[in-house]
Amino acid sequence: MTALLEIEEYRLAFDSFDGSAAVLDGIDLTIEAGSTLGIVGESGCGKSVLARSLLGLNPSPPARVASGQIRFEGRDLLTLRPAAMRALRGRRIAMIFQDPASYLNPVLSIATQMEDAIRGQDAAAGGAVRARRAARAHAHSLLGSVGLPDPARLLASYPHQLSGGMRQRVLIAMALAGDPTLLVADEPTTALDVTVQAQVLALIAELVRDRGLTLMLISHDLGVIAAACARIVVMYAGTVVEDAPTRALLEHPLHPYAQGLIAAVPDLDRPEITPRGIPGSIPSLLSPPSGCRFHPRCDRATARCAAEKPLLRELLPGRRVACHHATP
Amino acid sequence: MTALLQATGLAKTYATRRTAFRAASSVAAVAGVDLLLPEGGALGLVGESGCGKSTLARLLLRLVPVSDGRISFEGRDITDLAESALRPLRRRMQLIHQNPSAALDPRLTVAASVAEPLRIHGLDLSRLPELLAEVGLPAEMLHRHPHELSGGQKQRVCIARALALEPRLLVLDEPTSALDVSVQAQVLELLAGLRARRGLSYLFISHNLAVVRQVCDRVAVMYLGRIVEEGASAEVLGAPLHPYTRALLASVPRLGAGGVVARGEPPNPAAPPPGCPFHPRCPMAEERCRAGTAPLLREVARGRRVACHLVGGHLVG
Repeated sequence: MTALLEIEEYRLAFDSFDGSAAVLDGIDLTIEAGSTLGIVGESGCGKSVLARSLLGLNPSPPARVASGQIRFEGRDLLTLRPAAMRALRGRRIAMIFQDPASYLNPVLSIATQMEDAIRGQDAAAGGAVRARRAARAHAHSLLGSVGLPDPARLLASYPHQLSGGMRQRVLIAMALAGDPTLLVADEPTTALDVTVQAQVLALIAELVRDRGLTLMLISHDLGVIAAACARIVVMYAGTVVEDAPTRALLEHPLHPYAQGLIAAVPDLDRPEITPRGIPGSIPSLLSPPSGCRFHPRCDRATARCAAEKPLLRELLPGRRVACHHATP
Repeated sequence: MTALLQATGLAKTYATRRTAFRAASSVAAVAGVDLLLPEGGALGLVGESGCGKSTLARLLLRLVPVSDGRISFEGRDITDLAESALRPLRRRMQLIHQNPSAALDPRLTVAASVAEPLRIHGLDLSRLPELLAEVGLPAEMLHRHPHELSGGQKQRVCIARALALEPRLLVLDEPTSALDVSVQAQVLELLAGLRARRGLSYLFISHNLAVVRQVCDRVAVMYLGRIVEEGASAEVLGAPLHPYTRALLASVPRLGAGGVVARGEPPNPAAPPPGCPFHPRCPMAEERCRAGTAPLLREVARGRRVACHLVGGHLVG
């Protein structure tokens, strides 16, 4: 397998009047072409900011790239000119978001919005922009491919007439308009009910399989990630703490934070196990803890953890952990 | 066990006014709910958005006018009680909301927030530090403002505020949904401890079935304003009988293998399907499910109620 996306030593700061917050502190990760990677972490860990970095969606200021590279198909996304980034958005990398309602224009029909998306992709590709009629025919087939019944009626509707699950499917159809290679999904099912969530996850899995998409799925829900991804990256306070195949991580997490996170999730099938919380709360990134950012909440922390930032190292084949004390 | 809170045939219908775009109609948010919360019990109320679980909680607390049915609290019918007569009872029934940031006044210190209910009811303010300690907050938090607290700490303040009045019933409406999972576990631990220590009763509303299974000894599953299954949580969530409960459980993403996918989405409560409200999504629906009235909630085993034509027939076993 070849690497589709390589993130190296990526540091991003948010500047504010209170100082500079080190939101991403040296992210290192690779996504192989055709693979599925989940990024899990609690609020404020930087997972959405990382996802948005791929498409240049973090407003600057306040965001400021401090160092690093994000190479996609060999090109560094962080130094792309705006026009080159526009050509990439949607055509090579597409993104779907948490709240589908806020990504659709309430006063335009689905047909108009999908035609605009399709014609926008045509323009970005630099070729001929197809006519509205042709774009609509394409929209019709895209809606069919995301499992929406009666696309003709749907095209004539407005966002408020659709359910949350249908809106998310429409946005997935729009994301497919540019025939992307990488799909970045940021909490795509968090706003949906659990039965609808299962349907959307099944759709994403089907698209990954049938279209050979590479998936980067961001979620706070380990169950969602486990259902959709072969590999999981666990983030904490702007750092990657563990990177492992899904099954290995869930059965045998190595980093104390990953262990704590898994132990905190109540398991429907094993109610006799009481979930345990992690003491303390997430640190302020304006003045993050020295050394390992997890050390103030870690029961294995020693003086070394407060002094020295642990490097993400390969502890077992295909498994990386950033902890001084982790053992295979 | 005696009933602390009981509802009989409880219903709430909202009328929607005619607008330029829409004819007048009515929505049955809660339709004929029978429910019993025993003294010291913890009853979970689960269902997807729009199923009426929050409306039901508000009805039970008399926070919205009742359309039909009766409510009794501590053995006393409170359905038609005047607000003035209700006020002394309110001390013993407290509500905790999903979003603690919205539930706390940003300009009040923790001390002022927790003292407010005590002051309103003319009670002793000296117990403030004790209350804070009980929910696991250090005394120095008393002088902080909400913006200086984390989400978990804010929810603990809300719990302290509710406990200040020595309630017997806590209605918890998605109390951990806005919290991160590591903090959720801490708050659930706290709630379990409080219930054991104070002998509280919980009506626990959540869309998270795993959380409900942890906290509650009984669970009621709602769909489109009705209870479709009710029983001991180990039974309902361990061996569900109603097809909807089965679909709900199968949809939960597990850390293990993937589940079965239910089809369709919850229907619009303003235009519910005829017959059994779940029939358009039910893989087992038969002719009799599609017409007539919704199946009644009936006892199919001791302490186990299900509203499905097919349960008792080929579904059991």
